[in-house]
Amino acid sequence: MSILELLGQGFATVLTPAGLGFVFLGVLIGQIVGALPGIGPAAGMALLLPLTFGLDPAIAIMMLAGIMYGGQYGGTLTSVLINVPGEASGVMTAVDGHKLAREGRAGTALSIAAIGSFIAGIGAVIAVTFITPTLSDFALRFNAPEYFLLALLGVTATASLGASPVRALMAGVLGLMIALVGADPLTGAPRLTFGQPALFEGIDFIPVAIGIFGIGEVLASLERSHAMEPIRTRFRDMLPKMSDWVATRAAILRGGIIGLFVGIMPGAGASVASLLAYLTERKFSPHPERFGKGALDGVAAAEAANNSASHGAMIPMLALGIPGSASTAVLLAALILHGVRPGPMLMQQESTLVWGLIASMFVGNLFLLIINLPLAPLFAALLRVPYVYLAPGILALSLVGAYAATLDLGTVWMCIVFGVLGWLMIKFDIPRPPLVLALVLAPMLEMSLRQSLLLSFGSLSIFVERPISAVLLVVVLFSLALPVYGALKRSRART
Amino acid sequence: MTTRIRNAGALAFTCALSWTMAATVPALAQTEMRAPKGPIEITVGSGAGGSPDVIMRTMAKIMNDGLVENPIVVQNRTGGGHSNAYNYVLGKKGDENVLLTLASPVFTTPIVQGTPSVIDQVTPIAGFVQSELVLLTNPDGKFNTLEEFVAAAKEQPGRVRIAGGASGGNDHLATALVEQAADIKLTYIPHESGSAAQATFLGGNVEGHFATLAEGLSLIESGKAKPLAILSEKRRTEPGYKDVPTAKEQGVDVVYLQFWGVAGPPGLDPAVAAWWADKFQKASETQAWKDTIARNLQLSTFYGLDDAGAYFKREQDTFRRLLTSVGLAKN
Amino acid sequence: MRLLAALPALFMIGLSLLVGLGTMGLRYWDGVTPGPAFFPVWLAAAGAVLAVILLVEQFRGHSLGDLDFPDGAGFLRVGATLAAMVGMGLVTPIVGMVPAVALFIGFMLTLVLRQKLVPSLLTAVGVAVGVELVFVRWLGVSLPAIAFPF
Repeated sequence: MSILELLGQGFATVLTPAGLGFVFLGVLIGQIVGALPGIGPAAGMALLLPLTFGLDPAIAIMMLAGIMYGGQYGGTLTSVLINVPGEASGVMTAVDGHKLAREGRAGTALSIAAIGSFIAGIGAVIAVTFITPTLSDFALRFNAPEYFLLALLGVTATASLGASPVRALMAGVLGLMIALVGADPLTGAPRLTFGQPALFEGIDFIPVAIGIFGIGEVLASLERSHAMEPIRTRFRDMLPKMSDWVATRAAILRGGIIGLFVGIMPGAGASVASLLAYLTERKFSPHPERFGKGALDGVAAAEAANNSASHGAMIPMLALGIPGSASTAVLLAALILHGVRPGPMLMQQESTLVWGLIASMFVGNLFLLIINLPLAPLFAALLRVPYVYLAPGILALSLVGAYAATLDLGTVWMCIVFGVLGWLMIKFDIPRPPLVLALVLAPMLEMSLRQSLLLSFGSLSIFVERPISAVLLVVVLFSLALPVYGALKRSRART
Repeated sequence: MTTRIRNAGALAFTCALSWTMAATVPALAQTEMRAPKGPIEITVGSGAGGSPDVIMRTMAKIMNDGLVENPIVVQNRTGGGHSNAYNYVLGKKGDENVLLTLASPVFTTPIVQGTPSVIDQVTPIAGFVQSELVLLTNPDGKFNTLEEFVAAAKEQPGRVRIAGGASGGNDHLATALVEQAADIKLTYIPHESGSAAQATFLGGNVEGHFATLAEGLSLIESGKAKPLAILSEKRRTEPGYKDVPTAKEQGVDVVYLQFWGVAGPPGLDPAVAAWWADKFQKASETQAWKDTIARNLQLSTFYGLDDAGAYFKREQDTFRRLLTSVGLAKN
Repeated sequence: MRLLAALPALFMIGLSLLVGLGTMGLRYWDGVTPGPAFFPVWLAAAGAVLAVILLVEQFRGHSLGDLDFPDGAGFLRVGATLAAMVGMGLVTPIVGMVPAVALFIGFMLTLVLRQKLVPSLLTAVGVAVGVELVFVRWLGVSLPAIAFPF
């Protein structure tokens, strides 16, 4: 049977009252759950998994997948409105999105994010539809050496995420140091745990992100009275203008493609995707100086990338049974619980379910666009609530969300500690995104270097012998050499 | 060393047999039972989607389908190598509304961290599901049998690579057992998760990978992997596996079973523990559970209230010995 | 003010020392691959070098950063907010998390931010009810409940 016939069958499963209803319910739940700090799509899916037990497996999986990508749309809300990324993939959105919100352009940022996510999401589902086997083979050619170079690229690139490279790199190093805490991932030897069993598993991303971004931000705003004014939002600034679309469409396209390729790799994820898309976009942007200060194309690229990455993660899951992200891992568990065995045979053995799922992603993304476009100004209007009332609510929700993520009060304490650190970083003008991104990239950086050398029995040639790795190595060397070359040229021009 | 392991397995097997016989004599099962009141939380130390999570969610679903009236909720208290989960339950002395899922990290984390044993403190209720491992190799690779695999490792120590999950996890320990039994040196490459290791294996980067039988079957059926040996006492009977020899048949005397069970908090009323053991036994006799076991190619040897404690202690000793041999144990 | 501006660099040097010394007992190289101490050593070195560069730049008068500290009242508000968060963490195991949220918001609005009593209390109760509905009732998250039964 041809792919289009199979897809047609899939649509026949979705375009029924039950199919449409549960897909809509799924994306709506995802939208809400994604907007809660701490509870991301993966946790939301796990919590709501038991509710799907009575359903037909195909319908249940469609609904759960809806929560997964709906969560990406919902996560944008907290990143933009209150600068609390609920997940690692929202960090880059928060950087510029919240600046835009401060300028009163929250509605624009949210609408462009929704449009970008929609286009990139649909693009990724088209890729899932037609080239899943090819892409999954490609994904397998990425392994430890490639991941190491990718992570290295990400870590060195954090230098450019601030006004001063030295300060940005210092924040990055701080993030890498925080990631050292806990059992060494390779040998299990405890590092910097100071005899505390609680530190053995290391420091989780969620309390760090909530603390550094959300709590730090609120503390800094609370300290003076003039920051207490509500953020002004005029209605005509709430909807995106034609010029906004023209300015961001290329960013959406590039972000979507980067996101898809990073998303299909089982070892990377939506956070790496959005970082790389953001950095690429700054290279292409006509106004790179706006990045970090409220660049709409930065938000568009990051959002397009994280949504297409979250769809791309479906490819290794469907083709190989390997989850590309925490959310797809829950989706796999749901399949098992519904009596379906995942693995390389899934697409042949369960073609109705798989094609129903793929068709449902077209429909679900459309629902999300329809939900988000008219509601963006409404969500943005939340900022009209006086900040004094908003601030304690954000703090309380952040702490409850941190608790809900692990069900451990220790996480709440961690959140407060990192809140203080975040506040101090604002006060001392140290940029915060490099810290959080380095924390996400650190395990990938360290683990994959050591795995590479285990694979090659200690020979560094593994980095040049593998074709993809060799290409990445050249990219890394260029990205390191260019700023140095530029600085040399500038200093020579001066003398 | 390996003989001790095999004996432990054999002992477990006989225990299970004697338990089954005991259960058929009603007079012996006369422990007083009392149902707990209110909703029940089953604490799981893995994230949603991990094996212990899937097992407990399936169990909870079966139990709430008419066996147990108390609503059962599975809560994932992740982090700390299951220590967030077991510390929570250890803090709930005598609480009748919480149960702990027993999986290998509940045993290994205290040994690796040098903290007091968990199984010595909680109230063991039942062990009810086990899973065998299969050693896979690349379909176009040079090995066709475990003997060839072992011979290659003998010839070039450390040159045969195995991709596995976290350091100290089940596949790491299984690798250590194979190394000891065959007197070879392998290179074990740990990964952040089992599926990351599987990606490394499928990418053709290593020679070997341990998978559960269910994971292994679809890889074998789709031609992405070739089975070398099953680490169990005897061959499986399913069509996909009946031609796969055990490691023992190929001269490597290793039996390794992953297992999962359930325990109550310290000081749980014996009557409530007996009630739960009875419910878990009834649940594992349902058709729904048997179907799950068959689908996932697992084993469902049941260790009830009377043997669960001794069974878990034996497993703990095995873990301690293996972790010591790979240099991870602290106590 | 110079000394204050140098604090991040000094903090980084201290942290680098801590990381370096804290991983002293671990192996730098482990067979064919870097050992557990490899990354810490390089990170500590990188941290220290960056901090020294920053100090030198600051000594020459560049890169002091955009230091922005609040007045006394502002500091007091930040301190009180932190104390309120710590308080919320402390009372949560005793009164339960949902009441702790209500207490926290009530305290913040009335005493720290000096808002009118009635709207403050309404907000406090409203947010707590919202948390109960979304987290406990809908998502089934078991937030800490009140410790003493009635």
